[in-house]
Amino acid sequence: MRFLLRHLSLSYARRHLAKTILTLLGVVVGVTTFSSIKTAQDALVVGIGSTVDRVAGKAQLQVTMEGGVPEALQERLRNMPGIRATSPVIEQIVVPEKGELGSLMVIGVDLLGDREMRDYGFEGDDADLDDPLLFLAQPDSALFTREFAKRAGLTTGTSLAVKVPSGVRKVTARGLMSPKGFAQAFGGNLMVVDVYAAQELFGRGRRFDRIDVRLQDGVTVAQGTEMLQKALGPAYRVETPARRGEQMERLVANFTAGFNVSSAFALSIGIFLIFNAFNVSVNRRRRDIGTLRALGATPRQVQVLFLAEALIIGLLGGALGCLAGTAFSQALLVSMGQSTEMVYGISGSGIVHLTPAIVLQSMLLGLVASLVGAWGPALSASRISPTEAFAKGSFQARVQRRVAPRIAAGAALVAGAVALALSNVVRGNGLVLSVLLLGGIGLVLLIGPLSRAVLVALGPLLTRLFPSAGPLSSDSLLGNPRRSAGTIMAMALSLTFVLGLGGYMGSTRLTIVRWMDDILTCDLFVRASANFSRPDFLYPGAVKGEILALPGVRTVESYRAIRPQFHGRQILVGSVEMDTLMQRVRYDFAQGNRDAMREGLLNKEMCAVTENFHDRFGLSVGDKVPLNTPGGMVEFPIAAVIRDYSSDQGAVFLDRKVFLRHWQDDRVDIYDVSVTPGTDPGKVRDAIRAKLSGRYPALISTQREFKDEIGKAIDAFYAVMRITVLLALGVAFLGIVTSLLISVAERTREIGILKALGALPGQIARSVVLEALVLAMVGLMLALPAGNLFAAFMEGPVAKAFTGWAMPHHYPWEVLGQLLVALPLVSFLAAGIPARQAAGVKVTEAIEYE
Amino acid sequence: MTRKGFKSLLLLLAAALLLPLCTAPALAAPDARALLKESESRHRTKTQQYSGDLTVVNKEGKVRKKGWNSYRQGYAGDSKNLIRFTDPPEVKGVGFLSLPRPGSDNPDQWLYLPSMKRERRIAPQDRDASFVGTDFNYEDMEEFDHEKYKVALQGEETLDGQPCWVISAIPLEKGSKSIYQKLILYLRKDILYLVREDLIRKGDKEPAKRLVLSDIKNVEGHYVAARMEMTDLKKGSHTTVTLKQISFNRPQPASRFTLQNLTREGGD
Repeated sequence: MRFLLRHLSLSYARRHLAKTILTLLGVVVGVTTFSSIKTAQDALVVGIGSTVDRVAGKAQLQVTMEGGVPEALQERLRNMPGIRATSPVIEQIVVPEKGELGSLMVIGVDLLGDREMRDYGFEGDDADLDDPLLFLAQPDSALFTREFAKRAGLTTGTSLAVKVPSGVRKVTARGLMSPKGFAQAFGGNLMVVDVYAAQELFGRGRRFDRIDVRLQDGVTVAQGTEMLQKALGPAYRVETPARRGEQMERLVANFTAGFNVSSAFALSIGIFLIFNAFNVSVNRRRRDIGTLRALGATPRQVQVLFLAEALIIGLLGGALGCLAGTAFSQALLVSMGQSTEMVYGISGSGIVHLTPAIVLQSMLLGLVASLVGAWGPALSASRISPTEAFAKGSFQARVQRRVAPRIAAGAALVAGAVALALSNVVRGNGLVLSVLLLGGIGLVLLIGPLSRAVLVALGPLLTRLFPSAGPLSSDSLLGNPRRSAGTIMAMALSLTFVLGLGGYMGSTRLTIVRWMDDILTCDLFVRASANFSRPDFLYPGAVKGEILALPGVRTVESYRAIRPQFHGRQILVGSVEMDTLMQRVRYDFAQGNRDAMREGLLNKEMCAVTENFHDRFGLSVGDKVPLNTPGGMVEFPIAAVIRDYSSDQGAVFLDRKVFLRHWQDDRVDIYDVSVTPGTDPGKVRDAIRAKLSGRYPALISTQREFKDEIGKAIDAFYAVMRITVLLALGVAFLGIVTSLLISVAERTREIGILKALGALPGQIARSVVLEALVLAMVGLMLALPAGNLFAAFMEGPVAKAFTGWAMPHHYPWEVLGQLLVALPLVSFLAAGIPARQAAGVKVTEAIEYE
Repeated sequence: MTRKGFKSLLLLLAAALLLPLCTAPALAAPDARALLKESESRHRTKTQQYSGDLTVVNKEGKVRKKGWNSYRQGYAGDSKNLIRFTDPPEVKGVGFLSLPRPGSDNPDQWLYLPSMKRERRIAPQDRDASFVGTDFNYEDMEEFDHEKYKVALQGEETLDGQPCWVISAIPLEKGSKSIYQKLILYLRKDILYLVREDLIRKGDKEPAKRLVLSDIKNVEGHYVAARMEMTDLKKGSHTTVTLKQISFNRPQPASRFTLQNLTREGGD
């Protein structure tokens, strides 16, 4: 085998270095995509968990409450038996004015006694809190990690400008923390402030986000949890930090699940590239194989030889892909982190680590992809008889003999995938993977014969449109059906992915835009916080009266959202003045109607739930939703089920009066302001600004601006998915380059003869460009129905399984339009090098080439 | 009787005669509790007030200085204390109030921060925390009350040429919890005035900190140390408080030692 590898494989690799590199590149691209996505995804989830752990320090339990824990609870906890220490905490993410420094996690703690809970790492030669009294006395005091301070150019006593709800505020570094324990949370982008200063800074009133609890020695966590839960009642959540981390990880699970599809896609495209490259390699070396067989090599030896080549390429590609993936993953993580921060208000640390598990998975992936990709061609190679191998052109012209069974099998698999998607047999990731696998294999079986049929049909048209280049490219494509089919397959799969995901994203956006048009009908939105999911400042309820008193203001509604846990999920409980709201919005009802909802919410202490809430928890009109309130568990009967996109975890809506009665918390996230007819909203905006100026932060958006901001949040959710769509186009580009380079190399002799017969270099080059264009357009043609199916699958079963939202199907015309512009350009660029190579072939060398 | 046997007998006789002489001071020594009671009764004043200069020197020699006014009403276990920082301007107005807590041997303590306009109660768990970055902690800010300790006379020692009683004091921890395992008190014999305290933390054998009271003056008929220095023997830092404008038994307004006064802008 070593002899065969050295004399057949190595010699081929040396002679065709470019093609060998392209084969390797196929593996590298596949593995890079997989490992970068996987590394970033893991780092995001681990970062979230580890930030929770590190910030928790020595705390064994954390007490939280929707809307914040009242200050008085701390004293109550301190006096309970079994409690060693308690410490209030406020957490918030802010952005420095110098955006390049990255987001900062602000932790507000009580520095008077927090060292019982957290290790600040002040120890060291030059380390200390410069002046603890000054730190406490000055509300602008902050501690930074040494690493962050170095990046920001901060020293003790110098200031950093950060964006907080009330605008840009300067905070002064009064101490630096050594990078250990707590200071490593959030990748070291940490700012510690006094918890009472944080209350002021972030409008928490006299509440904390949570109280960390350390138990006395001898008290177990289970005992402590039980004791606290019993003493505090159901309105409070008593959890271990690990459990809180898990809940946050679950919250972003929908977001990260999207990347599994991208990883799977990258993997399948990688396999196709390898398959194509090996397929062509077999064809090219058929004479060598024939010679080997004539000299007595067994079919098994030939197959093993090709598989050994695949093994080497797989290992090398896996290693290179793993390294390249790590390099890309940091950028990907930053993008993912920004998205989760914007969409969910949570973020982890910003550092990726190449774990042994990812290295192993990536290497295995490269190896398996190469072996799977090479298996078919290796089998074909082993079956070449010496006579067939020496007969020129016979193998190239050989087409799939059993076309009908292949088409039937392909159609059956695609039908099976559709049936599975429509059924409820499998759910979640299992559904996505099984449907993609069945549909993918079905497409692979179908694309070969279909692409050939299309190419045959296109032949006359190409000849008519391009009299010289047309026949040349048509002959080239039909002359090697395996290579053409392989490239078209890779193209079609890439474009299916692009059309499917693009369609899904477009459909989601369109649906939400329509919903916003129905719901967000007031003229101005007055917010204190830019973050929708985790507001960093809340208005006191009394501000409503002040706004209402301004000239030109017709109505003001106070919207408040809390995010309690409900059966293990973080749902949204929204409250607003329903009487005025229902006069101006149009709800789309899945169950119940407008009158029933109005009557129920306003007069019967009922609630309305969203359709995804109804699907997730199986609660319908008439059922009761049990919610924890500060006064205990209260059950709210459902008056209506509405189609609403406020939360991907499900939402419950109440009238504000009901909320105030049970939660005793009048703070407000957003004031929805409607102006009187004929009044300029801009003038009312100015008046509100002037009224709130200097007292409260005020982000006042018009209806259009507010919708645009929500649109940005949606875009953030899909930002990384968009990157993978671009990647798909990149893979398509690579597929065309590979195919054309191989095509040109294979036809060197033919091109030489054509040139000897008088063909001009320009004509030859044009035929190569045309070949690329045809490959891309045939791929697109076949991807149109497949992409539409994929989009429908994503919008329907997948969206429903992960978010509970079923998006109405919308054909991705915009994406198709973009592809019709982008693909010719991509093809033209991809054909550049091969076309130049073809045009530059020297007749004398070409005739000798074989 | 041999010569050697006679010598042994003489030594035994001498020992028998000398032993009562050696143990005589111990047997005649006053009881530690009685000494501390006497000290308290001699130095008890109704009120005390002074202006203090606070100097914190860390182990690298970096110096931080602050000024405060201190007011006390009562003595030992029943004392009320108010400290108001006056200098530098960044910390002016910061206040510290300590009041006896009914039903507990640990007083209630609050720190007031004018920039936040709010007081913060110091939790018992935080008694070990440094008092505003000095070498004193919140427990050290409490007045010494011998009744909260099991006391025993350890012996005598001379400090700076002054003979002192050495008394050990172990916290009783009945209605309170101390961060210390034991205090070693040095009481000047002549005036029964506390001049040094060695503070041994729980689990330690050696003192972690040492408080030295010096520059003892007689002001208005009362002895008072015009200089207090707390040294953190482990960290190598020390904090000095120099007392000025000391006065005793001046009537204090009843409202001075209240939370309302603590949180009042400029309330002394």
